[in-house]
Amino acid sequence: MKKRISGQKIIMYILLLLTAAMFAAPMIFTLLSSVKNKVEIFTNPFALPEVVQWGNYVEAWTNANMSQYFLNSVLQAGATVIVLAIVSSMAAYVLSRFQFKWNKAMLLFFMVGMMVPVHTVLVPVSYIIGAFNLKNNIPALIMIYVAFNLPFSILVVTNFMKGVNKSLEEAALIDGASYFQIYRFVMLPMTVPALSTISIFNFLGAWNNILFPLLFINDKKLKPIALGLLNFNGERGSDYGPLMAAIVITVAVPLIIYLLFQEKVEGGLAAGAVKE
Amino acid sequence: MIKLKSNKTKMGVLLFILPALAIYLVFQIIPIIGSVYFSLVSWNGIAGSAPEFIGLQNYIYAFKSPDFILSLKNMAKMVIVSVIFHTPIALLMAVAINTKCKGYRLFKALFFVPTVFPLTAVGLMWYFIFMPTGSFNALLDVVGLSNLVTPWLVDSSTAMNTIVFVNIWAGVGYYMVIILAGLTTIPEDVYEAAAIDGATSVKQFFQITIPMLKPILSMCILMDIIGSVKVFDLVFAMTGGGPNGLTNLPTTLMYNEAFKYNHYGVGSAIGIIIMLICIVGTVGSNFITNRKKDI
Amino acid sequence: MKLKKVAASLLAGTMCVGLLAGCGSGGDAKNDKDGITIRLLTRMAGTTTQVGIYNDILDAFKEKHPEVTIIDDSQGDESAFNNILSTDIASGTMANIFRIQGVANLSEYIDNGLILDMSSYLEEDSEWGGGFTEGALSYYQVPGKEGIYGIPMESGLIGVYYNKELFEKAGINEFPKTWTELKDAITKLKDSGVIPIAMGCQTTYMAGHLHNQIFYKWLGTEAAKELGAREKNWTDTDVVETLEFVKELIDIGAFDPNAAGMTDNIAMTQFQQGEAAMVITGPWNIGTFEDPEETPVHESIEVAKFPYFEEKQEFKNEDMQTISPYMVSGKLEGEELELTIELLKMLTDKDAAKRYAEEAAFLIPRTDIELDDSKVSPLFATNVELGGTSEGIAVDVFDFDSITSMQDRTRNSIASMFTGAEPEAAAKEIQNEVDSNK
Repeated sequence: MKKRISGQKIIMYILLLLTAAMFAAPMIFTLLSSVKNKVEIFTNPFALPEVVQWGNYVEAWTNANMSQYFLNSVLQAGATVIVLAIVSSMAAYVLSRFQFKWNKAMLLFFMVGMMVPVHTVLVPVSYIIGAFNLKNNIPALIMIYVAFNLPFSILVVTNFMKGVNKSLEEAALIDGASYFQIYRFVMLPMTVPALSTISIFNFLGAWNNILFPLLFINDKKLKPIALGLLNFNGERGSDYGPLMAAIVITVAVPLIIYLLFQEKVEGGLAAGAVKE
Repeated sequence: MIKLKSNKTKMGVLLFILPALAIYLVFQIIPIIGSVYFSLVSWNGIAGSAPEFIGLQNYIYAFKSPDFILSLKNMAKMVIVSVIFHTPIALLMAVAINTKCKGYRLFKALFFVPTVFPLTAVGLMWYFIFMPTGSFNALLDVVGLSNLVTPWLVDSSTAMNTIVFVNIWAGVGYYMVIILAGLTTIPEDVYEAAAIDGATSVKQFFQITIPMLKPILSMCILMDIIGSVKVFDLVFAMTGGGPNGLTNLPTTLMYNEAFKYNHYGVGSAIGIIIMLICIVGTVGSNFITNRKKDI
Repeated sequence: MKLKKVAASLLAGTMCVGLLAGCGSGGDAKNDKDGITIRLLTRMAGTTTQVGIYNDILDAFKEKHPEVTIIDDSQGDESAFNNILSTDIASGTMANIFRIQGVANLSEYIDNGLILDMSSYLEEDSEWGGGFTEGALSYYQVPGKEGIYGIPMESGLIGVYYNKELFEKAGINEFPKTWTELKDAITKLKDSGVIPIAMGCQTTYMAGHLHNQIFYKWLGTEAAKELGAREKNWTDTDVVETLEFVKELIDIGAFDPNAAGMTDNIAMTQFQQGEAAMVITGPWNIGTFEDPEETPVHESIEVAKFPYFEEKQEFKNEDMQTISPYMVSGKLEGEELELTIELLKMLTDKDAAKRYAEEAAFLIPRTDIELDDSKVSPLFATNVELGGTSEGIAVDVFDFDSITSMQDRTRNSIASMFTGAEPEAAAKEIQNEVDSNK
């Protein structure tokens, strides 16, 4: 009995390690290549560089404009997160705390957005952007991000608020606090766990998006990082070293966020999916 | 639940929901209606020139176009192969990690981390591996398997498969984490009781784990179907739908038709078709899982 | 009725967003009341010398008119550029100075008032307007329209740049003049262990340019116009023959076996490193080819016309040339229009042309450039000389086609022959695009 279990364990370990290798290999290859010169990269993909080429990072960061793209993405994703946290928590407050006839219908109405693929609405959205001259307009881009991340955010925050204890709120109401004060000073602080969950997702969503900036942002000074990376590849596709460095720079932020908030990211995913 | 009596406070409270509603209406609901409209007209994209109502012509054009049919076939491949591999592999990974074996945290992080990366970066990463002069072919050369060297993203027999493989690689961690969350809800004593009854771990897996996880597994499959229909970034970064439309999906084709060739009507029609496929996928998979429950 | 409702709700909805967006906006330059804004949408972006000159001219203009704001949307990347252009067209907000490649689709834009007729400005200022070459200006006389709708800002022969040393090593002393000689040279080059023609089909224009060359030498530039006018079909025997010639080159091993999956960057690098003996490209790469750092083999690079077919002597000088314009938005008025024209003149006048030619080997098609021979590179001089002998000029075959998707369609289908497609199949695929757009 004991022997068989350990035998199974060995097989499981071998399989796990093999899979792990499949996952690690491309990342290690990219990381190694980012400090190699052009010739070294493909002669032996997994050899160490003869001389570590930090210059690739300098090249990507400065000459290929990754620093600018990086900053743009931080600002755009940051603004998206803030607007979404405010807008969705306000809506969730109404949907979770007040009894209206149409509350349920309204929540369902917001869920429609989760069902509609982005590509379905691309032409009309770009028509609106064009007609109102909102190209290269960052606030407009952020509003689009907000609109497309709104359903998920409202769902998560509303569900969370429904579970928040009502006694504090009722006490405040008796003390004569306005609804806004209750929202701002009672609900919002208590909803922080849900808000931080959606914020991580919304940040990643905005950081990783290319489709909207591809269509609506052509000013190089405003492009976000994922699009900047693609442009870099389009313009200088054979500068492998700096390109690999640019890839590493692009994935670094999501990677760090994940490592910092591992439980939150995984938990949020499961929560969002399971409660649907 | 607070019931509001006065209409004035009602309006006041409604102000809370207004910003969300406004943004949502403008960039989601109106565009959905708009896309139906655009899919029924012919418009050359020049401001000032009037769109012309042409009924279902755009849809007919799409279904007559060999490019669109090819993209549908590619999509079917993407969906089917992803579904076949994603959930089962994710399940095995989750079960293995759930044993809390040595280093399980590292394994979990490694399998999950691609899902937080931008798909453009993932696509480029794999592009450099699979391009004709890329590292995979270089590796094959080094280990003496030169006869297997193939232009993976160009050859018509491998191009789409390669992209599907990358899609599986990039997404499996997502489902793994969801299943892992489901596994923790299975009480330990169920397994213990089974062990006392002499059930092997393989038997336990098939007789306890899978049945208990059924709702979560079917939800994973549903999300996978919809997610695979919507893949865009990966193809856009790896091949742009080429060579010669070989790796186009409806999404990339829609992008080309609308924004490259100014066929806004055809693009919108393809967009609507993508939505219908998602709806059918949802309803269909719900139907199948519900029926299985009855049996 | 339905349309109105949709439009009204769109309007109402977007106004809400406008309000929201307003709070966060740092102020759109276009809303400034006092200053005039001139927006440019060209391909002049990147780090090359010609872009440097272009930027110098913009700076000089800024110095002269500090009150004017310049927004330069120019894109080096073709798809990024096309993307901006198509949304500009969709919204009717053209840049003050922009460019549209090709001529077939211009008439639709002219009808919608998007492009300004330049003929009166060309006449008015004879020193500037009279300096352009006749052929280049006539390229922008759109069939069925009065006037001239573009100011040519770049021209030049797209020819074969070759590495003389590699040719000599393979035992070829003279660049092939005819198709038969070319095939012979390719075989010898291949046997000597180099890639005969650098080609990267993943960037499909490279395959397209090769076919253009063959097409003009086999059928002449007029045939491309006939295709666009639907007087000729892609499935006609003689057109299929042009595709068969491409296939023939593939079959005799003229290209890297990986050509189908390579980008232009990689192919170009192969030529610059001396691994490939020929490449089909235009004068915009001369600067790179003469730079010893970028091109180690720079000393042995020469340029020639694409070989002609012995049985088609009459098309010997039917050449592929690049012609690119600056166009002016048809919606400008008053001072903004005047300033835009002033900037346009600064970008294309005699002095600019001289600087472009001498420093960047970049040719504005003017007859009044006084070149300092000691400053001009020999490669550029040869290129200009060869370009001067052209009898028929065309850019891409699809330039005369009004279907917007023909650029991708033709290039994709031609490139598909590199992955084994038959010429007939490629021709059918292209013709199918024409037929389904009827």
